[in-house]
Amino acid sequence: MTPDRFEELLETKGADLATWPKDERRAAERLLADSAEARAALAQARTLDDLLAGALAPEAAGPELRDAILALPVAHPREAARRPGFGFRAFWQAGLGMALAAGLAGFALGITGLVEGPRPPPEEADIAGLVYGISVQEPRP
Amino acid sequence: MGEDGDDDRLVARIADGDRRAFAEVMERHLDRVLGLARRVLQSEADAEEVTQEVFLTVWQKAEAWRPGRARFSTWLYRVTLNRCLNRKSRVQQRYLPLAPEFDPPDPAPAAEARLLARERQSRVEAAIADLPVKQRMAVSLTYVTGVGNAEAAAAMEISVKALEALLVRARRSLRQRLLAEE
Repeated sequence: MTPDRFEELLETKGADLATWPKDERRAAERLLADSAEARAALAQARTLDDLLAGALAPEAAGPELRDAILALPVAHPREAARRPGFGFRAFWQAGLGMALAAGLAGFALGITGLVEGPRPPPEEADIAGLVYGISVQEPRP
Repeated sequence: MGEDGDDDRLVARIADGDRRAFAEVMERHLDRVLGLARRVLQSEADAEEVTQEVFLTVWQKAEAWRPGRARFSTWLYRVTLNRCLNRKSRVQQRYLPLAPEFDPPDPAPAAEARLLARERQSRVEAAIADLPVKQRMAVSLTYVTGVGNAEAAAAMEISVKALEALLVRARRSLRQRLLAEE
């Protein structure tokens, strides 16, 4: 094994030789026996691994979080999976439904004449009459 | 029966609505899920919320779990990382460790040793917090959960080669920052 390959394995697999591929582990052990540089590189990688493993060791979760998690299952899993709650999809569907209903109601009110549409101001109606030769103003009673 | 078999058996019981099995799965995995979320999110409150979301997913999706296709822990870490990434994209919150001057001195005899340990812990945490998020995820999976490269890659849904490239970059950066200061 070359020193470069040894360092590559240290960086990709870490300093625990037991996690290295078996055939390369034996070659690495032979290199370690012969090379002080390889031994120094392994020692440095072990220091880093120990430092990270020590600092990142998971701390125990607090009792409040445990209680909160244990309180999560309210419905049977099959029921809970079927009724995921009022999520984004339900919100979107409800919004679309309301928009369609409002549109239909507006259309119905419009064609039945129950609600008066907007009237253009007289000056706009005059301009329309001048340009298009039509009158958009409703006839005065 | 091994760890994986135990997990599979417990998840099958959860699918039948067994709350004791749910509590057992929580006991087995809670600290590592929370630890992973803490490291990726750098926020205790966000990590706790994500952890609750992860275990709610376990309860709701237990029926869909098919033993033998993957390790339960791999799936659990994948759910955790996905939830963390979703949250990160929503809330760009960053944990900043307190400056040493805000840390009151401990009058106890072993205070100096504890202070040194705490300083070292802070330095490592700060160095990890400064890593790009994917490198941080790779490092956290390796050192918080203790999984091997193949399982970490599966949890991140990337190839082993891609995971190892992330680990190489992260280790180089951490070595330069942490061991140069030792």
